[in-house]
Formats: sequence, C-alpha cells, structure tokens
Amino acid sequence: MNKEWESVIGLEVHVQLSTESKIFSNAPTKFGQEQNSQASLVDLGLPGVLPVLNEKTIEMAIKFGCAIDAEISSKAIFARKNYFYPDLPKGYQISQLDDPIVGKGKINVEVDNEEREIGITRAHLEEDAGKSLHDKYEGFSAIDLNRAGTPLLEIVSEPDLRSAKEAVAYLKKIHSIITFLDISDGDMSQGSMRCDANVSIRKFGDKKLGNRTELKNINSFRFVEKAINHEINRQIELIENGTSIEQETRLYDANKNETRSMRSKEHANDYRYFPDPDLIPIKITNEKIQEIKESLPELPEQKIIRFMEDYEISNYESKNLNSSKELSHFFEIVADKVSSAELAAKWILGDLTAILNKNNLNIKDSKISSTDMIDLLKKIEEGSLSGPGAKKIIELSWSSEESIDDLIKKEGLDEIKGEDEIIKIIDEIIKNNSKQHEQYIQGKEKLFGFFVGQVMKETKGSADPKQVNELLSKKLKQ
Amino acid sequence: MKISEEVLNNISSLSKIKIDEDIKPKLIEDLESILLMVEKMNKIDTSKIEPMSHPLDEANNLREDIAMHEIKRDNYQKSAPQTEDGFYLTPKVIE
Repeated sequence: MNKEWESVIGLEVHVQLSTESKIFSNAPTKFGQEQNSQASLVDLGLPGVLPVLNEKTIEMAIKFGCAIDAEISSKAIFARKNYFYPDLPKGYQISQLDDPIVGKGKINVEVDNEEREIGITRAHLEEDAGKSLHDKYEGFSAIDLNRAGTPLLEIVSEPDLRSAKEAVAYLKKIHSIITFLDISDGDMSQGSMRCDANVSIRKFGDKKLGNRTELKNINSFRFVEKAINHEINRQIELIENGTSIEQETRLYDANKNETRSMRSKEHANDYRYFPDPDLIPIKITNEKIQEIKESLPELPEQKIIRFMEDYEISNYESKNLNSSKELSHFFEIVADKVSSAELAAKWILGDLTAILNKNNLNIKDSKISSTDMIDLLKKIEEGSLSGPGAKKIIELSWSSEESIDDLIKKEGLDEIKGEDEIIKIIDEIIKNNSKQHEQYIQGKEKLFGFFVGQVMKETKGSADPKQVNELLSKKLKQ
Repeated sequence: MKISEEVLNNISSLSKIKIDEDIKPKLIEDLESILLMVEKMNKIDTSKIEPMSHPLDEANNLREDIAMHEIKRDNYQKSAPQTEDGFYLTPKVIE
C-alpha cells in the first residue's frame, strides 16, 4: 500500500430482513417469483392505500441494535424520501431520517491479528424499491415490483475503516451478526445484503477528510475489496497529478474492474425528506428492549470463546468454525457425538471445507451430512478407517448416492483392520521382493519409498501411512 | 422570502411538473405568500416544545408478520397503460 496516503472508508450496508411479509404491506417477500406476483396494491402505490408497519421489522432492528451494543431509540418515526424513478411507484421511499431506530453502536473487526473498534453511526428501517430491466424490450424499461416494499435495515458505519481489507472484515462481521441473529439470510448473490462504500484519501496525519466518492453496486465480498482498492488508487493518481476529487457517485463494474461516474452532476439530489403523515410514531419501551436483549441467541464472539473452552480447539479453528451459523451448527452436532472434537474441527475445516469450496457450495448444501461426518470420524477414531481412506470416501460420496458404509465396502477400505493384517501384507511383499530387500539392507535407503508404495497399493490406500512407515522400517531391518 | 425563477425551475424539475412560462410570475407570487405565512409561524418561540411527527397522539399501529397470497396481478395490471408478460412497461429510463 501507499505509504504517503491514508484511505478513509465508511460503509452503508443494506440488509434484507427475512420476514414473511413486506414492511408496509402483507404481500409475501419470496425471492425469484414470477414478475409482479408479489406486489400488492400498497406496493404498487395506488391511490387510497395506506401503509401499516410490520411489527417483526421493529423487533429485528432492535435485535441488531442490542447485538452491537447500540442505543435504541425510544421513539421511531418514518419519513418520505422523495425522488422519481419507475421502480418506486409512489414517488417516494419510506425511510427514516430523524430518530432512527438504532443509534450509535460499535463492532470489533480483526485484520492480521489486530482488532479495531469500528463505530456504527446508525441503523434504520426502510423499504426496498422494485427492479427495472432496461434491455428486455426495445425502447422500454420493464418494471418488476416484487421487491418493492421488502424490509431493509440500512447500517451506516463511521468513516473508521482504513483499508479495503478492513472493509471486507467489517462486512463479514455484519454478515455473521445478522445470520447468527437470524434476521436475514445475508445472501449477497441474491441481494439480501448489499453494500455502498464511501471512499476518500488524505495524507497520513491529516485531520481533515478529503472529498469522497460513493461506490455503488458492490455485490460480493471479493468485489468490495477490489472496488475499494481500485478507487483508492484512482484517487491517489488524480491528486498526485494535481486534479481534485469530485464528490460523486460511481458505479463499480466487476467485469472491467473499474468505477465510473454514475449520476448527472447538474444538480445534487434533493430528497426533501419529511415525516410520513400515513404512519404514526413507534414507541419503544425499555421493557421491550430488555425482553429482546434477554432472548438474543448466542453471537459469534461468544461462541468462539465457548468453543475454545468446551471443545479445546484453537482460537484459529474456533474463529473459522464460527464464520457462519450453519458451519458452527454443523460442527457442534458432530463434535458432540465423537470423542475428539479436535479431530472433528480438523476434518470439517480441512477436507470437507476444501471440497465445498471446490464446488462453490455452502455447508448447508453439503452432500456429506453431519451424520455422515460422525460416521467417518468414529471409524477413524476406532482405527477401522485410515486418514487417506476417509479422504477418499469424502471425495467419492460427493458424487455418489451410496451410503458411507457401502462406499467403504465397495472400495475395500474396510478390509484392513489392525496391525496384524498390515504385518502380514508387509511380510508377503518383502518375500516377493527379496532382491530389493537385500539392496535396502546394504544401504540403498531410497528403496524404502518403493516398499511403502507396494504396501499402499496392496491395501488400496486403506492403511494408515504412519503406521505403515513404522512397521516397514522395523520389518525391513530384520 | 423571494423566490427566483431559478428556484422555481428547480422545484419544477424535482417534482417533474412542467410549468408554462406565462403562469410563472403568478406562481412565484403564490409561493412567496405561502413562505411569508411560514415565516410568521417561525417567529413563534417553540424551543420548549417537542416537535410532533404526526398530529394524532397515538403510537404503534402495527401489523403481525403474516403474508397473504392473493395478488390479483392481472386485475391490477388492467389500469396500467402498458404491460408485457407481467411486467409494467415505462418509457426507457436509464440513470
């Protein structure tokens, strides 16, 4: 990174709350339905309809607020944010300006083993807009209002982030909090979590903030890092060439890895916010906040510590296992059923995660169930299945419908049980390769590998290589 | 407070309402008289009064999170100027 320039980043994260119905109407919120089949009269903004707030959205927002140790407002009001765009049929978005439901809070973020506190300015409730498709019909924009009115929690951070990497860590932390709280599925590919980044640079030591640009349309963790880094470099280059940074909104293009100016600069947006007369204020009592606080589920930070204590695994392992709610849950089920939780952590974070990553899948879509994993680990613990054997089974069961037991039988991985059988095989091999054995005894130690290979071939990889090595070196010297 | 033609044009553009040249002077006059009234109200000391966001002294008109599954799309689309395959069509708008 550049030694002279410090980057200053703030993120606005939009989180879709996983309610059954929309924030102000009782239309369903399901993703991927036929166009406009989830848009009610309220979502269409027809005259004479009135919004009525979904109580679940308030609870979810308070849950988030409690999880980040934030002030919860005793009163929440909704405001109209006015602008014209076809996917917003009312001509205004119902949002919050004054008295957001969640006030100042904080989130701890770790990068390169260094933990930093990132301030949260606010989090407020608002409705999502619909979707416009511009290329579907010649000369027209096609509007799908299914998403219109979906509840969003907009989480605004302070400009406390100092690198793209830190921004990603922050985003991941938000992701883990909302999924552990079960207030959103956090699926970035489906737009359940979206991110805008405010980026500026200044000389190290400067107090004053530079002019910032707002990056829109960043839809994956990977793109967040790329888009921000790209924007930082663009700004450094401009300033070093004597040009000033214009305050503007820029769109990130993932295909070209570049940002480009988005809004016309004729006049700045003027949203003319005012309290929405259709909605009366929300009063939030201390009792309500207390009740929600007490019912909060265990959060990742607490879980990381508990896993280290209860399962005696390392901080690194515990953090990785708690990177998602599903993974953490999967581990707990498995670890509770086997004798060594450490072994469970090793296999889940190792071979299972590797094959999931290879297939671009999440643990919840894993073809190897927690029951399968328990089965495999128990066999390893008993000594009836070797490490390489288990590895092979994980790979095979991925593309097979057969049960773990059937696969083990089919592959002959169950045949080798104990030391005695391996010794028998070793004896046989030494007998059949007496020439090589003699050369080995005379000092040609390289031949050890040859014998290991023969044994592994004979046992079809089902023997524990460590055990084979030990037994072989003993036997070959006899 | 005076309203310039520039301000009027900005309001017109923000609200997407076209204003004919010949009614502009009258409109400016009307808007200025409205602002005059607001200025009068602004002179009242309200520093000890908590602002209201709604004239009704009520709160928490909430709905249970239950989805209804009767969206009569075809019915709703009857009043739209143009639809295609379930989409609403508008003149092409790209920001």
